[in-house]
Amino acid sequence: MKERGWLRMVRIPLAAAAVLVLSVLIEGLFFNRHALFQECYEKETAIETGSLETRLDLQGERYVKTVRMELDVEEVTDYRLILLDGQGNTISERAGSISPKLDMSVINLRAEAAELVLVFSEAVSADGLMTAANFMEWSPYRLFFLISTFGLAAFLWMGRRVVSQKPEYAFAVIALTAGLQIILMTGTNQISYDEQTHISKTWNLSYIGTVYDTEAVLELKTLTVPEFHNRFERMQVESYLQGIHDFETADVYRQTKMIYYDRRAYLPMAVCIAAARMMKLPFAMMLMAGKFGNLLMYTAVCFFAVRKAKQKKGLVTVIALLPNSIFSASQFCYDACVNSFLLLAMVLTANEFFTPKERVRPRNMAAIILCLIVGSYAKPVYMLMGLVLLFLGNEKFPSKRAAWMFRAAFTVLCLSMVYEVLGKSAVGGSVTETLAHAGDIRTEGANMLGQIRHIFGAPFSYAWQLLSSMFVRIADWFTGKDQFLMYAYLGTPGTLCTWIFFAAVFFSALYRCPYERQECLSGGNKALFVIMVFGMSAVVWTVLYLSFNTVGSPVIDGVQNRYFTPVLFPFFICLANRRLVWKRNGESYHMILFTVMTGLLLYTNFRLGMMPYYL
Amino acid sequence: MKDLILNRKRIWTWTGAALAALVFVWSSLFPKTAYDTRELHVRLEDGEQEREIVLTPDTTVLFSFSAGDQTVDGIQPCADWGSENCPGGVLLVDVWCMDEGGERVYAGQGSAPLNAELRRAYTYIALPHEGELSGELSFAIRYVPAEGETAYPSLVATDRDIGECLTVVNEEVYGGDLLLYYVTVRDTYPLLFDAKLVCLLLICIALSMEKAPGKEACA
Repeated sequence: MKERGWLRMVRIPLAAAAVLVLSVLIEGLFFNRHALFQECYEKETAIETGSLETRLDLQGERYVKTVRMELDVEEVTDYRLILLDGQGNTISERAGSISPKLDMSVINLRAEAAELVLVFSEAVSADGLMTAANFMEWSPYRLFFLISTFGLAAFLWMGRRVVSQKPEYAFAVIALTAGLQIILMTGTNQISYDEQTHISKTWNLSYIGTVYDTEAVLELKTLTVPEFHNRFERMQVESYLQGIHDFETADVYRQTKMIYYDRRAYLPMAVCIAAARMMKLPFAMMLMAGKFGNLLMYTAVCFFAVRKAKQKKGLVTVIALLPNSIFSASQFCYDACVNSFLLLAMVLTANEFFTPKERVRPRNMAAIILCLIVGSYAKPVYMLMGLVLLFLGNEKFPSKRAAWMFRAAFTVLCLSMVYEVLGKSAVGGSVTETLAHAGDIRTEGANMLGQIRHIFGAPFSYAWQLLSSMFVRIADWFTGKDQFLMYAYLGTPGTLCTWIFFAAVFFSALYRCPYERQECLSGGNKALFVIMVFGMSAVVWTVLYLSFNTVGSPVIDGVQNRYFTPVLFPFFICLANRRLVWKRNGESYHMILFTVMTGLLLYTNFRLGMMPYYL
Repeated sequence: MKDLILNRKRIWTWTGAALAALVFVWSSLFPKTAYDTRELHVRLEDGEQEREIVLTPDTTVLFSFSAGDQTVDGIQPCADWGSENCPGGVLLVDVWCMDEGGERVYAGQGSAPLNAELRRAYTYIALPHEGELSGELSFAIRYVPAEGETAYPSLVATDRDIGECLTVVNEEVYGGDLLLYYVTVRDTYPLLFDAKLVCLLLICIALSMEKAPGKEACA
């Protein structure tokens, strides 16, 4: 008995120590094996003015970890690095570029070569230096990734009880860890959708009244920050940005103190940026603090979504841990606000439909509507998802009259929100004027009013176009032509991961956890939810067709998978049934889901974040 | 007191909704004036060359553009006076607009001194006027030097013609246009949207509340 008590006391410190030792061993012995077991060296050669080609003889075949080019350039200069063997044959070739803002470039070569040939596209106009080296390197980013990965594995194994009994806490741990990995790995690279726009709005929102745009901020806003490809370039980029983040030479201008509704989704990021600025954190840290604010908000809201779910906590967790959503939450992006608040709103709405005879509690109704409003601030069309509330039975309200009055008031509320997209009441705008000029500036020939006329001119033809587009998109997810899992411009982890994700979603939706209540949506309500999901998807498609496509376009372009994240829960909850019950215990049910989702997240982070930058 | 607060939630919610409705009405009746700085011509395209129009005492630069429905409150032409010169004079702007009959009418005059500490600046010239300055607007810009001043500032233009703009220097059409921002005023309704939502939200919540037994029913 004493032994077991002693073991229980030390098992967490023991596990932490094991995680630490294992991570350090892998970092030291595996990632640095060439430095440990082969010769460490540094060979350099001068890059001469006017030369097109520079050769670096390594005096025999050696392992080259990195090649560093230092050269003063006036514009972005492309180069090729050719690896030759002892006989002068080409082994392989790499390409890169030197930014005039950094005057250097590093390639993580990690290959054997006897000679390196650096070839520029044009003759260089200054002297420079090329250095090849093999050395011991302790990468803090790789170490963090290893520690957090093994830490999560230990948490899942040792905290099985927490995972099954309090899945919301397990969700929070996994989401925060995976999100932190993304934040730390992506650094100052702008790899999310329209990130320059989101950073611009966040930065402005972090000030009240007068805005100070330093040169570094202006570069972020105009997407001209040099991109890094490894840790060494990252250090240079961060130092460059820190150097031009000077408030003495900042652009100063005034903005309204009013926070318009379409900017409120940026508040968590803006608050953290403002706090980091007040603490005088380095520029790169300040950016990461802004992203962390977004992640915290997403985790907190989804935590409550998992906690409040009366049914299908597993399904809610799987959807909340969707890698796309965790990625959005770890970047400057309003999607985190949309996805988290709409998930909570739909969970609370489904709770009401599970108990059709129970009166709705006012605070639950307030929470549902508030979540719908906040979730729709950035994309008001999602407010239409709330229209399912109109179908709550009269028994849910104190009286039949109150029920009908509620329906009328809520319809007006939804329409007001959607109308605001075009009406812009805050600036006294008019719908006709907005419609006449609306259309995404990135697409030449896009015009909302013209597109509406086109649709009404041939409604059946558009309906067919819409249905076929939707069908093809869904089919493409499963045939591998299109990828549902995406980390924006970092790419996709692959079709298999999309299949694994959908397998986890289907499993959690179809199979009931043994100790969950048996309440299910009625057939009518399932039909209602499916119609809502289909209608919402059609609206998203149509909005894109109106705003992003040229008038009369035969295809609907611009629809991204992330737009469908808010409808995942209401769709899959309809698959819940009383027949399929997980025969084993609840612990294994949750362990399967959490293990699969954690594995998927960590693999995606490794494949898209760790591999291209730090290996 | 506890009874008043806790057992009358429904009444408090309806009161909140009524207050939000009042804010909505108040916000729509009393708009707030907001100023916006708009770019007319400030970003140079590839190959576009800067030119300078020296504002000697006998030079007048006429400039016209269409502000559409926006009400113009002032303009910011780009003036350059070099690092050695310390201008002591003022930029004067006369403005004309179109009346309802399509006739060009004189609308007023604005002026602004040049900041001696700078070398170049988009100098803001407020345009005092009666009525709204919108639609087709024409400006006559000249420089009134200080006593003894011999080095004159220049207005910065480029060789690119901006659509719907016209620059005339000493009665000759100029092959390009001035670098210029303009400032517009407009009415804003910052609380309108939120007041509407809060009002409807509170109504929805109140409608899902049970009437409190006893006192509230009597009330």
